[in-house]
Amino acid sequence: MRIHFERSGGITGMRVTTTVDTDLLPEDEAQELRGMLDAANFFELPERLASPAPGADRFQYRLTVENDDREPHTVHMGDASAPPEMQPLLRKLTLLARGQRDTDSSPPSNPGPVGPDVSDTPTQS
Amino acid sequence: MNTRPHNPLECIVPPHMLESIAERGSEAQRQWALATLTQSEQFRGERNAMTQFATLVKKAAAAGKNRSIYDAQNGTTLPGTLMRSEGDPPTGDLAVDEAYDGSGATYDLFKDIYERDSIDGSGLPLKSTVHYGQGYDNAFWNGTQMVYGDGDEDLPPDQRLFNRFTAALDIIGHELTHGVTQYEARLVYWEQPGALNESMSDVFGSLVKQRLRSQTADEADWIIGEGLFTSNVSGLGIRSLKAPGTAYDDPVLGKDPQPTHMDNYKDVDFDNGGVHINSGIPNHAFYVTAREIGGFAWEKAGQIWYVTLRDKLQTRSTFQDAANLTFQVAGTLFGAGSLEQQAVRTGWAEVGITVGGGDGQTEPGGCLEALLRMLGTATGETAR
Repeated sequence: MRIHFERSGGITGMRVTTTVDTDLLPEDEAQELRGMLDAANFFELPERLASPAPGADRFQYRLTVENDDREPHTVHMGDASAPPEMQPLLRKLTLLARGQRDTDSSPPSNPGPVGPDVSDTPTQS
Repeated sequence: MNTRPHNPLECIVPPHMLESIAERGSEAQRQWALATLTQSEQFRGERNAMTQFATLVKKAAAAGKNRSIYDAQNGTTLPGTLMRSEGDPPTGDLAVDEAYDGSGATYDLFKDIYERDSIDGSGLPLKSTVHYGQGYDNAFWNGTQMVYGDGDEDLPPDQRLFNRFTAALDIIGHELTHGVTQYEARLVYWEQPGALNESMSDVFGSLVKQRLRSQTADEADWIIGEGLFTSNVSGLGIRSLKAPGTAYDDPVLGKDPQPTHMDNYKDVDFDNGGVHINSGIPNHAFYVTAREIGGFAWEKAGQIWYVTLRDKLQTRSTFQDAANLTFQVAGTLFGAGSLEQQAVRTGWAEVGITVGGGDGQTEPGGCLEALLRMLGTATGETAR
């Protein structure tokens, strides 16, 4: 299972992304992520979870899960509209994305599905 | 014949008609007219002028500055524990005291310069929560209060990228201004209107800082978020109104993605259609306007922008609308053909938008008829 994670928005407007391949993780971590997806009922969620509440500068998330068993499923949500059951997963993926960012010398990568990479890429060392 | 469905409250209705109804109508009609006069969008700027009407409306006494700062203690429950109320001395907690001072300075800009009593114009209490979340590299407005994280305080110092988000005064001003926008233009947080919403927050956030430092447009750095980055980051701040796209260029964070011209407008699927990215365009238009006028940017350029936000912009206004409306307001405030109005034209031209050109969204409809129908309904008569 591959999980594509993107966090955008926030007051800084910066984007962090990461892709997690559960096949490459230790089994307990893979299990944890699968459990989080199940607890959130991820595959039943609609493609866009919008919050009717006012507000600004909240984070926006795009989560795409690819599995051999089924069609890839994407959910867009924000901090205000994400169900409580999604929060632990979003938190974990954010930390993974940040951890990758700290060790990765290149800018946020192109997530693939939609959207051009908007930042000019500095030359990679 | 306009076939677009209208909310009658958005119609252009002569104020004297509503005043007359408020004085002489039936109880139901009076209630409706009073509600319309206080809330209806097209009267936002005229409420102050209708001094006769003021006696008909129960106004909340202007409460003035009323700040409360809370501590979420690195959790996410709001508002958290009350730490400092209006008039209390500094607590020694930097985030608490910065939120207190910063929301005060923002309140002062809106009150002293634009005669606005807090976010809603009627002394709305200013609530801020600090120490929100863990490793929370953000600040936001949730519809009723401001919220600030501590940055990535959970990382060792040599990996930290962000300080606490109250460290930059313009970020505090930015958040509070989202509240003002919510009560006035209500620019929807998506694509161009959202980028305008974001830009208003950057503009007034920057003006709070400039006024505190008593800096002219030439002297100001026009950077948003100075002091937010740790020394591990190669960057001045998160955005620049003077030079969008140049605020930071860092191996870990990437490069400032903001465009400075419509030719480079970013049509993206994230960040609500790039509201924090494309805000660079109206941001730069404001900077150029202020630069052209000279002097303190909050006095004239800021006045034009504030009146436009308060009286003219609507939920779906585009950049073109903002250009047309700021130009119109500048003419009203300073005279047609004035230096100030020309500066506005130049400001938008430099970002690739021609005042008076293009495809604006704002169109008052011929909906007086719909309003009168509604009025008829209020008296119990059958509507068509």
